Amino acid sequence: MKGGRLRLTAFAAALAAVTGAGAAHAADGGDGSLYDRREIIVPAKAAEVVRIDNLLGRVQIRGGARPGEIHIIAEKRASTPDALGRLRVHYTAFESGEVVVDTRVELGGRERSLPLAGSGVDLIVDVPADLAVEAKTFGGDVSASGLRAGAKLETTGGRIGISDVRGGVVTRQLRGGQRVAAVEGDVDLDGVEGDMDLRNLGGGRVDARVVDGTIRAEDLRSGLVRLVTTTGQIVLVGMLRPGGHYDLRSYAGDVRVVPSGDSAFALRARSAKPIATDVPLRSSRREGDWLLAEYVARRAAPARTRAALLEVSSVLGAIEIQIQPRTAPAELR
Amino acid sequence: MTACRAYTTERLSAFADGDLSAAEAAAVRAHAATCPDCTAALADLRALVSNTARLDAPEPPPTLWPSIAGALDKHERRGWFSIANWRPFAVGALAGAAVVLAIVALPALRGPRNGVPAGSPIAETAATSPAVADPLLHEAEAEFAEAAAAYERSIEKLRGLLARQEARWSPQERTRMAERLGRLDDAIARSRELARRTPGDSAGNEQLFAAYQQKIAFLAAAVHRGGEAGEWDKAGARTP
Repeated sequence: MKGGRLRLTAFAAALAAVTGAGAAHAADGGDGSLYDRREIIVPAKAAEVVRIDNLLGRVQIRGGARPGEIHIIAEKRASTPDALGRLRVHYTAFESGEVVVDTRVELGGRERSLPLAGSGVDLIVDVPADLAVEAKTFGGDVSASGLRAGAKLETTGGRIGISDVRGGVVTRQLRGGQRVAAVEGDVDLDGVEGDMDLRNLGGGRVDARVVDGTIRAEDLRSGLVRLVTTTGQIVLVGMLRPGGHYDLRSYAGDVRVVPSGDSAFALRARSAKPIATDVPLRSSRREGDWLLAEYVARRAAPARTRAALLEVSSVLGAIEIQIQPRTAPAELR
Repeated sequence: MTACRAYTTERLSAFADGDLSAAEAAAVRAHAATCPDCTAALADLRALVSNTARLDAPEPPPTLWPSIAGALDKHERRGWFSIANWRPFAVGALAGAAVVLAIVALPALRGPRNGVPAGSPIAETAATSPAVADPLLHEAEAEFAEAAAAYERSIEKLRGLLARQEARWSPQERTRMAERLGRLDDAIARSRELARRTPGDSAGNEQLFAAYQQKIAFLAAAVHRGGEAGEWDKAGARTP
């Protein structure tokens, strides 16, 4: 085999063929659809990363399985017994520490990784929390939670959900929307269509880009935050970290920032419309298209604490900066 | 080695065989999305691998058996042909047809790099078979087509935004933009042709989507930087 990787274990047959290790339940869904649910626990003692490719449906990944084991629940659905029988789930472990779980459909005598509208396979995969995870779907939702070594999720048309993850998070998506919460690690999100909802993110940096969608972000503690949308809005709520750099850019949408009153920041803003703010800015001046100003926090910052840099730009939209009320949490618009 | 020196033929071959790590494969896929030479080389390699596999163990493309079965079924309905009785012959003929198909296709695939020659048997098979193909293959192709249409819509939207800025550009900037877009469009066209030639193979569509993503990233960067007086040319490949 090329590339020096050796396939240690290959369950070439579908999970259905793995007798003795899994439990199977077949049923009529009542809506004319047929379902077949299988469960299997596969050994993964030397595993470092698990890659899940499921173009046939959804993927849900949960950290917390016992060390050295991966627990897979596969639910196949189809409208005919023939179509149901042509859906496969494979598990392969490589010597390099990579474990691959993928789904295929038998077509013309060969098994192929393809998206289907009327049939499919949904996977729930419980992995040891310290395994790095990569997952890919086509039209199905993909989610990851409870992981401690990061996650990379990719989908064409499914929704992305990530919560309670330590380690770097990377997403790629055509459309569907993304919700990312409680991540301690660098976050790199990319989408074409669909809103992004980010909450409670730590780590060194947050980088989120979407062409046609709104980005709502609350409680970001990273030192570098970059939110970019072409036609959507951006809403950022919460404390601006001292010394942090916040770069918020929309081309055609509005940008709204609601920092806490204790967040000192230097502002660099550009907008086609007048900037709306109730923040008492000091040292306002112009530099080309950009307005430069400073906000000194109500509560004095400790000595040597640098103010955050808040760069806000909307070429066609409006910019609004309002201090967050102390008593009540700000609501996202 | 292709005209592009980014990857050797061996590395591209390993990619086509699925032997690279996920990270390496992603890097090759991203590069191929903007490199016509590597896209063409990959198309040749995949076709070569596919046809060589058929020579070793003759296996029809997914669209071939349904077309033959459909034809046989038509004969059966006329009452003088039994598919059961003739199946051994049909399988033999099928294998022979696959071998002939591969032998005829190989020289054509080693020919010019600018896509498949119009008369290529593979191109004709792909173009004419879907009507009689497996319904699941239809489903898959419809899913791919819908995603491709979504990418196209986003590209059109971005082009519309960019058009508002073009009046401010210098002739040189317009020329450079046209060249960049031309290269991206070329990569998309080649990837689309690869996907069309290999129905039932997601790799071609993945490459097409990667090419779309490159163009969207470039256009989005150009739109954003266009608001900063001619800054679009500094746009990175992925980062707006």
